[in-house]
Parts: sequence; C-alpha cells; structure tokens
Amino acid sequence: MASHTIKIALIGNPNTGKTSVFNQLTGLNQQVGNYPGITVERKVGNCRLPGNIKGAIIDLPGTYSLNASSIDENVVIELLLNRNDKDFPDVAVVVTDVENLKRNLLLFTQIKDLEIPTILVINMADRMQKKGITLDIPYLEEQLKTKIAVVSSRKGTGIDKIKDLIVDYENLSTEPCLHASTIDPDYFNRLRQAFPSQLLYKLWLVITQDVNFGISEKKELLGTSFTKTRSELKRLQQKETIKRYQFINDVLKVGQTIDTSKANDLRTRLDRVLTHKVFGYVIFFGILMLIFQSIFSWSEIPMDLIDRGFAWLGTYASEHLPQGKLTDLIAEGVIPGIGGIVIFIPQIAFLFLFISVLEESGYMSRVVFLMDKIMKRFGLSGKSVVPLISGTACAIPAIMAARNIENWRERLITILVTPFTTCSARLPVYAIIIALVIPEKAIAGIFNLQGLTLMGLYLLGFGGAILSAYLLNKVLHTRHKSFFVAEMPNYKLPLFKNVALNVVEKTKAFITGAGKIILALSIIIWFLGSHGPGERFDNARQIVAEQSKAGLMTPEQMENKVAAYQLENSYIGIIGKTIEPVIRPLGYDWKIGIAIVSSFAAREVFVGTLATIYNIGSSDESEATIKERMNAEVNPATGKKVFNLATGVSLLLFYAFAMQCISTLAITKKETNSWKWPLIQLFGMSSFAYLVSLIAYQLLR
Amino acid sequence: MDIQELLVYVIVAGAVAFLIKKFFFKKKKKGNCGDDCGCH
Repeated sequence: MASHTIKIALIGNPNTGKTSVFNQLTGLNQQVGNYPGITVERKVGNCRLPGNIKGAIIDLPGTYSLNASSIDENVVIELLLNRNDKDFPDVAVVVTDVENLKRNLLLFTQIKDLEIPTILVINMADRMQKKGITLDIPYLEEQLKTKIAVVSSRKGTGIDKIKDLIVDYENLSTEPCLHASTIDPDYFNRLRQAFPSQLLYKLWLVITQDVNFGISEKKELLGTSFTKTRSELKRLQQKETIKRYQFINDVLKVGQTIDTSKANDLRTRLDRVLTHKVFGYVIFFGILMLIFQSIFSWSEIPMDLIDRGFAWLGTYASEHLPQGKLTDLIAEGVIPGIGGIVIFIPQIAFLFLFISVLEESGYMSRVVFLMDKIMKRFGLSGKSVVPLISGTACAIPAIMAARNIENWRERLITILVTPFTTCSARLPVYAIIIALVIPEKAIAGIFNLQGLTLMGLYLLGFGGAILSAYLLNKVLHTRHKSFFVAEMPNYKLPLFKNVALNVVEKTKAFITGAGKIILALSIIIWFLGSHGPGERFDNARQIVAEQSKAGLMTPEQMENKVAAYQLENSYIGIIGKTIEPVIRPLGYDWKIGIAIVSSFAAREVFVGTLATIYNIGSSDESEATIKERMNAEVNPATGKKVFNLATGVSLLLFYAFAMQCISTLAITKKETNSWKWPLIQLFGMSSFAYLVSLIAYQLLR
Repeated sequence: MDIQELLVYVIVAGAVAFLIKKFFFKKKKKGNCGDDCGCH
C-alpha cells in the first residue's frame, strides 16, 4: 500500500459537479491560487484517506476533451502530458454526470489512452431514479477497464468509495479502452518506430495541439516529417472523435438503460405530454394557430401606421421637391417600393419572435422528434425535419442544413422539397393578398379567418413538401434507412437577450438583404413604366384626347386615362401584355404578370412592384395606401375588382408552390453540383403551381 | 436633357449594374453565410 502522499487530479467536463466532489473530498482543506503566468484558478486540497494515507487533490479546470481550445484546457493537457511536472498525478479521477455519460466519457477514454491510473466517478446518482436510469456497473468497469464510484455529491453518498479506490490506485488497470491509432495505422506505425520509448497517444496529442507545452518532444517532432498539414490533422482528429463515440455508444447500449416510462421528473413529464402521439400534435398545432393569429392581429396597427406613413411621404415628396423626372422617381418609384418592404417588418419580427422563443425554450427539439415519426412514412430522413423547419425562415440555409443527412438520396429529396416550405419572403405576398380577399371575420367566435388562412398556407407548404418527397421517393426508389439521433436539451425559460438579438438579426437581414434588391427593382420598374418606345407613349395625351370626347371628361378623369394609356404602352406594359395570354387563365392581368416576373428575383418584390405600377398608372395624388390602391384596381374588360376571391386564391396557391427564387436555384446547383436538379425543381414546382392555380381560379370565378 | 433627367439615367444604370452583379457574379464568401445568403 502506498505510504507517500497520493497525488490526485480531479478532471471532468464543466457542470458535472466536479467541484462539489472536490469539496466533499477535501472539506475545508483547500487553497485557491493561480497557475503561474495565467489567470486560471488553481485549486488544491488535502484529504485524509483510509489507512491514514494523505491525498493531495488538484481540481483541474473543466474540459470537454484533451483537444485544447482554451487556456483552461491547456492547463489540463500540460499537466497530463508532462510526467516531470510536480503535480503530475498518481491517479486521475474523472467526474461524469449520469445524465450526460455519453458526452462525458469522451474525455475519460482520452485520459485512459495516456495510461494514467484512472477512476471513473459517475456523479448525480440521486437523479437516476427520477430519470429511469439504471447502470450495469460490473459491465461498464470491464469495458472501460477501470473502477467506478457511483456518487451523489449533493447528498454526499459514494465519497468513501472514491477514497477506497484512490488508496488502491496501484491496482487499477492502465490499459487504454480503445486504440486510437487504428484511425491511420500507417502513420501511427511510423510514429511508433521513430519514437519507440514514447507513449503513442501522448505523441499524437503533442503533434495535434497548437500550443507549445514546453515539452521536449514537441521541438523534436516539429523537426520531423510527422507533422501533417493542419487540415489532415483536423480530419484525423475528427476520425478519432467518431471512433471514440462509436465505442462509447456500444458500451452504453448494454451498460446503461434509460426507461423513460419510469422517469418522473418535470422534464420527463413535460416530454411525455409534448411528444405524445395524440396530444403532442394537438399542442403543436394549437401553438401554430396561436402564432399565426398573433402575427395578424398584433401587427395590424404598426402595419397601418407604416403604410400611411409611406403614402404621406410619397405625396409630400411630389408636392415639395422641384418638379422633374428625379422627383417622379423618388415619389412614384423609390418611396412606394421601400414602403412595400418596410410594411412587413412587424409581421416578420413577430414570426421570428415566436420561433426564437420556441427554439430557446427547448420545445423546437421536441417538435423535430414528434414530426420525425411522420417524416419516416414519406421517405424522408428524420433529419429532414431540420431543413423543413428552418425553411420557414429562408430556403438557402435550410438547404445547406441538409448536409448532415448522410444518405445521398434522402439528402437530395430534402433539398428538392425544402423550397415548398413557407419562407419569410412569401409572408408579405400572403399578407397583402389575404388582407385583400379574405374577410376579416371570426370563426367559432375566437379564430380569425385571415389568421386561419395564413396557417393553412403554411400547412399547405409542409404538405407540398411531404407529398412531393413521397413522389420523389417512389421515382428515385429510395430504400435506404437512416436513424434519427438528437440530444434533447433541457427546458428553460428563454433568455430575453438571445430572443431579442435573434429577432433583430433576422429582421435586419430581411431588410438589408431584400431591401437593396427591391430598391433597385423599384427604380428599374418605375423607369420601364414611365418610358416607352414609339409615338404611342410620347403622344399619349393627344391620342387619348382624340379617342375620347375630351369635353365630357373632368380634368382628373383625363389625367387618369392618360396615365393608364401611357403605362399600357410603356416598356413594362409591353412586357406584361406579351406574357398576358399565358397568365390570363389563372385570373391575372398584365400588371400582375409584371409583378410575378420581377418577383422571380425575390418573392416579396411582388408587393413593391404592384405598388410602383399602381402609383405610375394613377395620376391621383391622394395618400392612398398600397392596399387601397390594389383594392381599387378594376379589370376594364369585366368591370370587376382585379383582386377578387378567385384571383386572390389563385395567386396564393401560385406563390405557395412556384419556384420563385433565383438564389434557391443557385444554392441547389451548388449543393447538388449539377444544373439538372435546380432545373427539375424550377419546372416541376412552377408547372405544378400553374396547374393548381388554374384549377382554383376556374373553379372559383 | 435637364439635370434631373441625367441623374435618373445614372441611378437607373446603377440599379441595373447592382442587380447584374448580385445575380450573375459570385462574390467570395468568408465561412458560413448564416441565415441570410442573399435569398431575399
């Protein structure tokens, strides 16, 4: 039995209760100082061990692995790699949290590879019953080649067991639990042959760390051919981590049982309800409904204020600036165009407020888990849920998020169907058309019909994605299976700062990203709408006067007629008239056609374009809002309102399904490395959108 | 052509150039693009 003072290093991930174990072991016999030259706290303490043996315990800073990324972590590695250090431990005590064993064991396996006698402390044992966790300790000890102390530092249980194991440290196995050298046998063999007297894993750690530990081997190795490029080393480190997790997973599969039916803590009880096969969906749809109701009702007042503000600004600019083309451009092009995007800030902000709260609270992970069961039936991977949910913000990052789907076919299907999800760019289009054609009335006394329609469109987007995934799955004959693995975070109250930052960031990205394009397009559209080829545009006043009996018209009627005639014969009018035969069966006139074409750059441009067109086409200088102008638009052929229920529903369906985003096509090309898939996406989605809108208009008109 | 008209042509040309640059010329990105990748 050891008669000297045993040097003990207490190591573990942050938040595993390591310091509580330290306090239990040392009591008041502690000294707190700093490591030489750095401001990392150094805690040491003494403890009395069985057999009247003394123990000197050093509480090392919390670290996730032996791959240093902070000064704190360097301290741990420096000590464990340097046998000449006066604090080099006789025994390492690795503290883990029973609820996060998988993650915590990574560090343990690394320390074992350094062939230091190691004791595994599984802390927070008092939570095992509540969590329904049982451990097969003999099996774990055998596989992990160590001795285990199951401890509750909070209740002070198991501390004596640690002390017994420390005293007996010389009998602990120093054999590694897995051999990391198998990640690149050739490389490690050469390393072994070059440094036969050195520990292989120690050499590997010295090579891979950026810091100089003041260890002689580092200088020696830097002069040899064993240093690989940074990217090669990173790749090998990743392989090593994967290998370690595979080992840990295999061990825990047998050694740890989590019976959620026996778990009875608050988180588990909440999980049971929120991921319930019936109530889970009911609650999820209830929350969705609440969100969409709120988006409409809460943003009504700020939206009205913005709309009226921009209408006033346009009139003010045209009345107070010197007359001329630049003033026309500002009053009729720039101001209504910007107004067309600023008006949707309240709705976008509310949407991201709700999404952030759901993400921050931990509920979103439960939704992903819940929806996984449905996804599987339609041939999508469980991981496809992440791109589909992120798609509610923007399809670009969502498509990139599909990278974590290992199976190529499942990933391809996810990439192809993600643009169906209702992104934030569709929201302005939906909002204005719903406000125009769907009556603002309550259903069953509580549900706003407009809010319900918006929710229906979101569900339609998800439905479109899932249905097309099902069809693609049949066509592409996907028969591969993948498994959904995700860690459920604990529930927590959302931090106001995080939520606020997220809302501000997303809204800012929406304004700056879309705003510049919309402004540029508004300027071009105004130019194309107020200039035209030939005499019909230039001599519009004369032609209108000749065609109509001028004497029977008021000056205001005359001005309106001239403005309308000019718009019809402008460049934009000619473009719109050219495509009109194709879109007329959907209920759209040439003005809507122009808005659809221009919104191919970005969907939300649709509203700004219409605002600009209607401003140009009217000589009316009153402060009419975008909504009022759209509402007042009359089809000259039928004498009916342009934005009626049939046209409105047709437009909503068109925007729900059509591939109206250049950037999404570009990212699909980048992710699939082929033009084939974005072209299939473009023609597939747009043809489907055309067909559905055609049917809807023909049935409703 | 008065000064206002001239300015209008300059602004329109600038807008066209901006859109061409935005959609036809790739810009080099540093790291991930986060949530906004110019999709709006």
